[in-house]
Order: sequence, then structure tokens, then C-alpha cells
Amino acid sequence: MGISALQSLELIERLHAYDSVEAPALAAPRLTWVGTSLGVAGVPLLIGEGELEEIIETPAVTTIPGTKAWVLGVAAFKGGLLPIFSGDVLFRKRPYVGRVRDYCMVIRRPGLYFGLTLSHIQRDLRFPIEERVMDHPVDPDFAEYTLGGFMYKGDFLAVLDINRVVADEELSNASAAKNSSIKGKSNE
Amino acid sequence: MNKTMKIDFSNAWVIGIGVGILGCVGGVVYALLATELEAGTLIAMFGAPGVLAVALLAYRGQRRRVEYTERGVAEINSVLVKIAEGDLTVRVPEDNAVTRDIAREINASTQRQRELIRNIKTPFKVSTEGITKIGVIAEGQVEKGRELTRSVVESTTAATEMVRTSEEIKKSTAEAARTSERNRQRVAQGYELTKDMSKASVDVRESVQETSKSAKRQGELIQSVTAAAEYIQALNTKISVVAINTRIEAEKAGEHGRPFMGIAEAIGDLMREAEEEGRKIISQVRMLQNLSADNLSSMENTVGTVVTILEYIDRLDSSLEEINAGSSAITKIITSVDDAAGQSATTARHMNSSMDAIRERNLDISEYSESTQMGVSSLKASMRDVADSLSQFKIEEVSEAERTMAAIEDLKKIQSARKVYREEEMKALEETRMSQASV
Repeated sequence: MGISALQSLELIERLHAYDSVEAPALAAPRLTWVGTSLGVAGVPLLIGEGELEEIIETPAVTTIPGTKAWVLGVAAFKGGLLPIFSGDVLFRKRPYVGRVRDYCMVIRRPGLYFGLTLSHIQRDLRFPIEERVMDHPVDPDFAEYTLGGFMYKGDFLAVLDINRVVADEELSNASAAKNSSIKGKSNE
Repeated sequence: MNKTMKIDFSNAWVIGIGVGILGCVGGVVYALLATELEAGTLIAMFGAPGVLAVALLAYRGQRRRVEYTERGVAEINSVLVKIAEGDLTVRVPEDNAVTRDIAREINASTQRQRELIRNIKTPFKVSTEGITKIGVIAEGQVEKGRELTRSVVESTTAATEMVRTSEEIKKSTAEAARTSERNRQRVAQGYELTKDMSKASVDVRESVQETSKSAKRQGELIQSVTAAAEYIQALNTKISVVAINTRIEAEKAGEHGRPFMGIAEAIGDLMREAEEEGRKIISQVRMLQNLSADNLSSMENTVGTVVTILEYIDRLDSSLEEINAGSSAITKIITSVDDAAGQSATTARHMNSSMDAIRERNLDISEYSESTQMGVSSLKASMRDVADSLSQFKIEEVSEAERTMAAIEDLKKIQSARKVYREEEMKALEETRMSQASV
């Protein structure tokens, strides 16, 4: 009596187990950090996933008198008003004269909804979490708002912590107080 | 001497007569003492001495006459001897009555001879002076002829040298003419080359200008491409923004938005590649733009350089034309110098032949002058002989002082005499000078 089909399959399995190499072990899924590569005031930064509301072209703004210099104005956006802040003036704390910032990122936090101008936009990037560098020197103006970063093509991309930005008292008060007013306006 | 002889002669006669008388007296005395004398004998003895004395007196007188005559003859003879010796200054004493006439005739004859010799000596003296002058002149002619011969030889040598120099000048001018002609041909070639260069430069300028126009057009196109690339880059950025916003919205949508997240990631990946390529394109297009601008600037510089080269070529062209004109003028000058050198050589040859003829004629003249000099010398010798012969005739009394002065004059003539070359010495001297001139 011949062998049954199941026996043949079992035999094939045994032979295969005996002759063939072992199947490669599946690598453990790596935890990756996902974010968007962009630039503020010429500093390449990474914004973590979920921290951005969206990126929009800088809308036409209406200046608001009595506000700080980094407040470019208020723009009509999606049926509402969106304050637009200058990333250059906000972080550098000095007037900005340069190329027009075409894009800005919209940040929405409880009690805060504003747009911050960007110097450049790249794309979404994905880094292994273990590659995060925490002790790399960062631009002094951004050092207190960053939390480590990743090396990408030889450049260090610092991770901008939006929570630290919005927690800053300077951002929480846009009124141009005497002791906090910054002389000069940007060309925006 | 003659006077002494006369005195001795007369004393001898007196002594002889005295001795004779004494002899006679002695004989008479001896005869008287030794013998007895008779009257006749005595008369004879005394008469005989008287006769003897008379005879002696007569003899003495005759003798004195003879002596007187002899003395006159002797004087004439002595004078004649002196005349025969050439002394015509002597005079025969005319105090002797016997020989007075003869003495007068002799004196007159010597007087006439003196005058005749004097008359002969005077023209001889003049002739001698004339011949001496002719001799001096002939000697001077010979010397002048020799000097002329030497000058002619030197002139001939100079003319020969001039001929040689003229021929060398002709050779040099011929070579210079050939060189000048070659230079002129090269200048003409250079002239043609400058024309070709000018034409080529114009072509290059036009070509570069055309290329410059194309480069400008290329620059514009590159500018347009750059603008397009930048626009594409801006679109890429916008697409990136869309992709980012898509991912954000997909996250917001939760599980339902997961496909959109994949799409957004795919778009992001594509955009990464597109952005990199777009960046490369923009970088390369900008590089191309810079290169185009550099090329355009280089072309403009090239056009400027070509224009400058054209100006230089124009200057070179005018310089070559001037050089060509100068070369032609130099060729003409060389040709005229060549002709002048040829004429000079011909003239020098004519002069050389004329100098040869002059030298031959001068040699003939020198020979004639030498012959004349020799003839004059022989004539002078003959005249000197005649003068010597005539001077042997003493016609005037010459004092001792005059003889001394004449000797001094002769010595002066001897001192002032010029050196007279002999014939063979002169020929040797001339041959030596001719050999020196030919060398």
C-alpha cells in the first residue's frame, strides 16, 4: 500500500527540514520616530508626528497694532482668524529682513491656535528611535525648545518640541509690553 | 839763384884775368932773373905782356858783350820756360839792348795770349755756371721724376685698392640687394598673412558675435529653464506640503486614514527623489547659467580681444607697408650704390691704366733726365777739364788770401753736394718700393 498524500507532505517536510537552510529569523519590528523635516529661521528642525495641524502657504495678514514684533498679523483662514507669527523674529529675537517666508505651520494646542512661518520644508522623515542623539549642540536660540535630534545626510536635525514652545511665556503674551517690546518690524 | 850765378861768373872772369896777368908778370920776372936779357928781348918781354894785356882786354870786352847777350838770352829762355809752363804773367826784362826787341815781342805776345785766354775763360766760366745750373735742374728733374714715379706707384696701388674695395662693395651690395629682396618678399608674405589674419579675425569676430548671440539666447533659455526648475521645485515643495498635510490628515482619520498615510508616504518618497533631482537640476542649471555667463563674458572679452587684434593687425599692416616701402627704398639705394661702386671701379681701372701710362712716361722722362744729367755731368767734366787746362795758364797774379778763399769755396761746394745715387742703386730702390706697394 502506497503512502498517503499527507505522508508524502510530511516526508517532504522532513526532507526539507533536513536539507534546507534554516529560514531567516524575522527581525523584531523597529521602533521608528516619524516626523516632518522643516526649517525655522534657517535652522533645520524636525517636528514630531501629530504635533502639526497642517502646513499652509503663508496667507495675507492684517497687522495687529500693539502686538509684539513676532506677530505678523491675523489672517482669514478656513472661516476663522489665524494669527501668524514670524519664526525668525520669535526665535532670533531680532528683526528679520530677508526672503519672504512662503509657508507656515499651523499649530493647535489647547488655548493656542497660530501659524509659525517656516524657512523651508522638506518632507516626512522616519528615523530609528535608537539613533536619536540627545547631546548634539544646537543653535543657541533653539536650544531650550529642542529635545535631541537625528543625523540625516551629515546634518543634525534637532527635534523641536512644540510643547516647550507653547509653554514659553513670551509666546503666551503677544501684547507689546514696554519691557518686552522689540524694536523694529520685519519686512513681512 | 840766377843773380848769384851772375856774380860768381864775373868774379871768375876777373880772377882769371888777374891770374893771367900775375902769370905773365911772374914769367917775366922769372925770365929776367934766370937769363941775361937783351934790349929786344926786354922789349919783347915787356911788349908781349902789353899785347897780351890788350888782347886780354879786347877778349874781356868781347867776352862781356857775349855775356850780356847771353844774359839777355838766358832771361828770355827762362821766361819762355815759364811761358811754356803756362805762366803768362812773366815779363821779359826789356833793359837788355840786345834782346830788347825780342823781349818786347815776347811780352806783347804774352799780353795778347793773356787777353785771349781771359776772353776764352770768361764765356767758359759762364757756360760752366749754366751747365751747373742745367745739371742741378736735371738732377732736380730726376729727383722729381722719381718722386712722381713713387707717387704714381702709390696712386696705382691706391687705385688698385679702390678697385678691390669697389668690387667688394659691389659684392656686398649684391648680397645686400638679395637680402633686401628676400626681406621685401617676406614682408610681402607677412602683408598677405596680415590680410589673411585680418580676414580670419573678422570671421572670428563675426563668429564670436554670432556665438555670443547664441550664448545670450542660451543664457535666456537657461534662465527660463532655471525659472521652470525653480517653479518645479516650488511645485515639489507644494506637493511635499500636500503630502505632509495628507499624512497629517490620515493620522487624524485614524484607521480609516491609513491608506492615505501610505499614499502620503509614497508621495513623500517620490518627492524626496524628485526634490533631490530637482535640486540637482537647479544646481546644474545654475552652474550652467554661471558657465553661460562666463562664456558670454569670455566671448565679449574675445570679441574685444579680436577687435584689439584687428587694430594691431591694422597697425602691423601699416608697419609692414612702411617696411615694404623702406625695403624698396633700401633696394633702390643699394642698386644706386652698386652702380656707383661699378662706376668707381671702372674709373679706378681707367685711373690705374692712366697711372701706368704716366708711370711709364715718367720712367722715360726719368731716363731722359738721367741721360741729360749724365750728359751734363760729362759736359761738366769736359768743361772742368778745359777750365783746368785753361787754369794752367797763369794770367794774373793770385794772392795767398785769394787762394785760401777759393779752397774754402771748393770745400763748401763739396759739403753742399747732394747724394747722387748710382743707376743700379736707384733701380734697386725703385724695385724695393714697388714690391712694397704691391704687397
